[in-house]
Amino acid sequence: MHRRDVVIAWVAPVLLVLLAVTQIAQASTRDLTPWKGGGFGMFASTDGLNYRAVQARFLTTDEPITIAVHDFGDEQRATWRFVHAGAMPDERRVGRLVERIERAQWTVDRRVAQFDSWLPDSLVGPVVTSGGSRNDEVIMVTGVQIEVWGTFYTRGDDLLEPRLLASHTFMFGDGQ
Amino acid sequence: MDDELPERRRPGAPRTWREIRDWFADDQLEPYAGASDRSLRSASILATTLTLVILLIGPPPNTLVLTPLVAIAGLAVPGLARNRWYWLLLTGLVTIGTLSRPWLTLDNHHWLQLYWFFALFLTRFAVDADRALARTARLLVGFAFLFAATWKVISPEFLTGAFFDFTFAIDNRLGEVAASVGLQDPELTSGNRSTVSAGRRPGATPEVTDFIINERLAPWTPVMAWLTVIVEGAVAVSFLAPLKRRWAWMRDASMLVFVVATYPLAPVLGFGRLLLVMSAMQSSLRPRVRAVAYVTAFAALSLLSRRGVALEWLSDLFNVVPDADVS
Repeated sequence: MHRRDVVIAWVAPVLLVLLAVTQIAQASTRDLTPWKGGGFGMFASTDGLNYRAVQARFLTTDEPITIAVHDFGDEQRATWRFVHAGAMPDERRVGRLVERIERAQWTVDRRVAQFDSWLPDSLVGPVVTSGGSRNDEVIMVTGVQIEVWGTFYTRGDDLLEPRLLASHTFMFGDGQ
Repeated sequence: MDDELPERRRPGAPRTWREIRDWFADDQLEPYAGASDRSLRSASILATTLTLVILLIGPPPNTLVLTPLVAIAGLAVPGLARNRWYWLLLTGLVTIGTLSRPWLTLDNHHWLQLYWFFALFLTRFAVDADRALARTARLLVGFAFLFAATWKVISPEFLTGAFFDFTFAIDNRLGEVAASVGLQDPELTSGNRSTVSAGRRPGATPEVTDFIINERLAPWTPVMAWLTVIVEGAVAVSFLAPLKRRWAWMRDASMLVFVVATYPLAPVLGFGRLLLVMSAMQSSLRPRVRAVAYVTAFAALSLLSRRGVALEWLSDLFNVVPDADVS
């Protein structure tokens, strides 16, 4: 085989190997789900993206308020950041999700903050308002906490065991 | 030089690093060693045709409407599928479409598809494009299976059977098959799914919960796990090992066994079709045998999208009633 052909033939396989080794390293060190990232870890672990739970809450001077963080309306970019935070919950990806949370107005209904609308660029968010009878009352929030949980099953005990993979807290500068 | 002792080693066996390198670079170790250009050409035509068919029946995510049209042109215009600029266009379309989604949402076969299209374009610059593409196909399949098998070995819950216990009890795709032969209750699957979904609701505190698996299926899941690793390992070894041509049929055999054993259970058909295409490209079977084997497997795999009919038939065969006992 011509030497140039050998080099050409190896280019794509070398790319595959580089990405796959990187994926294994990230799964080991940064909790990347084995199913994603190009490392061929599908159908090997129960820790799939579909079985991970991303829980978010606004921190207030009172009780925390749960955020329905999976639903950003029609904005795909924010939804992808939610998926990324679940797939690899390092500080950078979770921080990007928090950026989108900050850019939105949220309405609290039965202690759960639901996405309402995007704030204009000039306004620093998040804006959290209470719904129901106290409609539009602004709630002071001091920060956001994001937790990502995985689901694990061990043969024999017939129990599903949730495991906290990451927990990040982001405080807002001067509250809202 | 004449008075040197005769070398006491097997003729042809490498000894120095240079000889080892040359031995591995030797075309005798390629599946197409001694194969005629015509045989290589027919493999290339088969693989590129099936690749274009994939673009028509299961295009990559977010591919523009232009992609199927370009694929049809490649099937209709003779010689177009051997043009490097044609493959540059298709590779560009597939790459833009695939990478317009965030990388952490892509499945593994989307990555493999990107590598494959990149190889289809790049090997057009080789002196012997078909031979280079055959080698690339062999290495891509080999490394993909090497990593897939490695993940299954290092994952703590795989070889114990826990992964299959979990997946049969929660994943519809596998659960349906088990239910069709009376080894699973569909209500059990949906109940388990509800349990996991509850932990994902906003504000839920994930907690340890009961998880019901089927006792009749449980003894088999460790066996399935080990068989999976053995078959995937066999594909990896046979595709990566420098086999002499007379043993190269093991690559086709291991791949076909893997496809038959895997995709009726886990119908990730895009992945299966892509593996068949790459395996066909590197295959050293006789052209007619190769075409019949791979086109049949490709068509059968595509029919699995209608596997509901087969599952109903299996249910009838095993006389499964909906409220079958699962304890």
